[in-house]
Amino acid sequence: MSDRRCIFCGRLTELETDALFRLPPDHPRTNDPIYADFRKARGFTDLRSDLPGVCGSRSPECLKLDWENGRPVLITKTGRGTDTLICPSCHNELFRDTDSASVCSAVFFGAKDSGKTSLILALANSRIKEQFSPDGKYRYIFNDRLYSTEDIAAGAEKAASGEKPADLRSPAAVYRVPRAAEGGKPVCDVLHDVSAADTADEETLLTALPFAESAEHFVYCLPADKLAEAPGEGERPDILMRRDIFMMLGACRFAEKPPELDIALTRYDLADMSPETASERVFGVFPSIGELSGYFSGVKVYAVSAARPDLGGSLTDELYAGLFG
Amino acid sequence: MANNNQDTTYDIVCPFCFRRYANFNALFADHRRFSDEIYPGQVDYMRHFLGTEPFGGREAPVYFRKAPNDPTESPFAAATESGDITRTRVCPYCYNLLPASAGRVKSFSVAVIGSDDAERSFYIAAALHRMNSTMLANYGAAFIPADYRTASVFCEQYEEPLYADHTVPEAMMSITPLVYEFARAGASATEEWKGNNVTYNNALIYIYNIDRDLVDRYPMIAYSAIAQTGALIMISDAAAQAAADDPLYDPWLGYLTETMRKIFGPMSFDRPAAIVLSKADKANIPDKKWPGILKAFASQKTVVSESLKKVFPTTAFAKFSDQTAAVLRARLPGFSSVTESLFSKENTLYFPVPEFFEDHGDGTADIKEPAAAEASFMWLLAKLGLLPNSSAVIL
Repeated sequence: MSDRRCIFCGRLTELETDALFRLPPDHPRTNDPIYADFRKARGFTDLRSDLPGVCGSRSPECLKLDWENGRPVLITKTGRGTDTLICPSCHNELFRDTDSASVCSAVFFGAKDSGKTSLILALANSRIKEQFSPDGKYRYIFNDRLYSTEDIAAGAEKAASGEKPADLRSPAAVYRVPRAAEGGKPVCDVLHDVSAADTADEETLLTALPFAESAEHFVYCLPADKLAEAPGEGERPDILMRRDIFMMLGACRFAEKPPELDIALTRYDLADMSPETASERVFGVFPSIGELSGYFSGVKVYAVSAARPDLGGSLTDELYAGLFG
Repeated sequence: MANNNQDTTYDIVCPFCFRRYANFNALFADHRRFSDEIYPGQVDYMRHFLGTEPFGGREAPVYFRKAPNDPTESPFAAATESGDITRTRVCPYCYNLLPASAGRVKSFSVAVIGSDDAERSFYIAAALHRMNSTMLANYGAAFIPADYRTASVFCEQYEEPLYADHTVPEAMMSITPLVYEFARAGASATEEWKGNNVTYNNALIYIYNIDRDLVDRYPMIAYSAIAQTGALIMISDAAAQAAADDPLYDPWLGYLTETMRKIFGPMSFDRPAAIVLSKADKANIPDKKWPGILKAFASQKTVVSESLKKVFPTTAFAKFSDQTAAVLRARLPGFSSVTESLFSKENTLYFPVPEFFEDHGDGTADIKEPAAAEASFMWLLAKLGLLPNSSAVIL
């Protein structure tokens, strides 16, 4: 593995040439404005920036760069080794198994209270609980360096009971490890939560959502109960949906490969429709979706429910499989 | 979006400051780094012309020019200081964000000028709202906002008030261009389209909504927009035109003449121009042919055809335009003499359209005839080489 993709900002880093390391904790802590700027842009309020310094192969602190079991290790002049890789762009940690072909990102966006965070929590929690994919091909391992499994479970439970969970400012990451018999390499599935503040204006969009450019899926969350009421509202739902999607297009306009647009009908249990008719209904109420098809690699519709585990379980499985395989 | 027209880049025309420069002169923006530097040009522009503060008072991102030894091959990408690739570009003069397609495709601008109460904003709302969908149905092309600002401004200031809230849009407070992207998805490399010459498969269209108040407040911007426009739409309230011989009786015509003469001197505007006579059904034009012209015009439809084979070039709109011009010459000689002196005959068509929206006078409005707006706009796009010449046809 010679490159890694940052799951926070989406940057691909060549390990041999560009990678940086976080120095061991015994090194002096310094102000890291790059890390602080990124945290600030993502809406973190605890702007702790006094971290151990950053070191690259060309830094004065570096003695040599070694490779141990295929992983780079930087030996400092004090004789200490560090293998904590960080992204040169945002100074967040570069996790294992995140080379360019092994990261699959989905960006969840939509209007306020459309169930984005609840949906991410439900998807992550179901991967934690089930551990294996329904077809038995993969084992799921949740990255608990970002969120603990208990936090995700508590958040999912809260969301299922109808309470509004707090926005997820860091992505949720799940490793999908194929069974030994299947072969292949692990894949890191990344779920990004986009809050309304992240799309307040164009500059904020570009600053707060750098990961959107490399995302494979844009998941537009649309409350199904609102969809049921929509026909009585004339053209308003279509106009607002089009605006939301056009705005998000601003984050991926510069991408070389267009993402797929996935429309997730959240709170599906509250709507009077079958999954089969959901797609038809969506295209009926939102005729503009057709205009957007040229800007996405495809458009798919899913019905999901974070509140009803009996109903929502199979549907979230379906969405997860649709997004990540 | 792929550029099917040529392999090299196009010159960029900044939609905000109107400067033209080669693609390699554009600056790149690194939104992952912030700069302490102040860009006075940008601050002035945003504050004075768009009525906003740059970055909401935050620090600006780092702007940089692509280095000669930059490893990225694409002329639309550059490596940042940290080695990352950025594709976000800004104008080197006013530092506003350029549309993603700037330099990849040809850009055109369309200025919409009009008298007060001529339904100028209604016209733009109706034309763009309908063209969002009819372009796909009729031509398999996308016609959508090219940047975040346009998506936001068009929805909040034009589309949502009229089509969702049924209220009258508020007066524009700034000359924010609406930047649209025209893209024929899956278009082949050929520049011919069903026997009609089409020069460009993809383009950026900058649309400027200019009223008298904005011309007075931002003369340099307004005059530049009109001077550099590739096509012009002049909307005049037909119902407010007096049947007088002296155009000076009409302050709007006097103002229009003065503005156009300041920009073009004694020459007439030689680029495509659509003269839209709004509220034509309310106009008091004592001519027995007038109701017939309006009725015939209203019965025209822009193409809704599954196959472009059915489309054939027609002179229908030119015929209506000639009839309208004849009536105006006889019945509104003042208006007619002004338009005929300011706009060249061979590139100008008259579009008499009924009232787009019924303004109830209490801040609410109803959609009446939005379909009529797009015909003139599509005719201009055809004149600019984006749509086939048969864009506005009789089926």
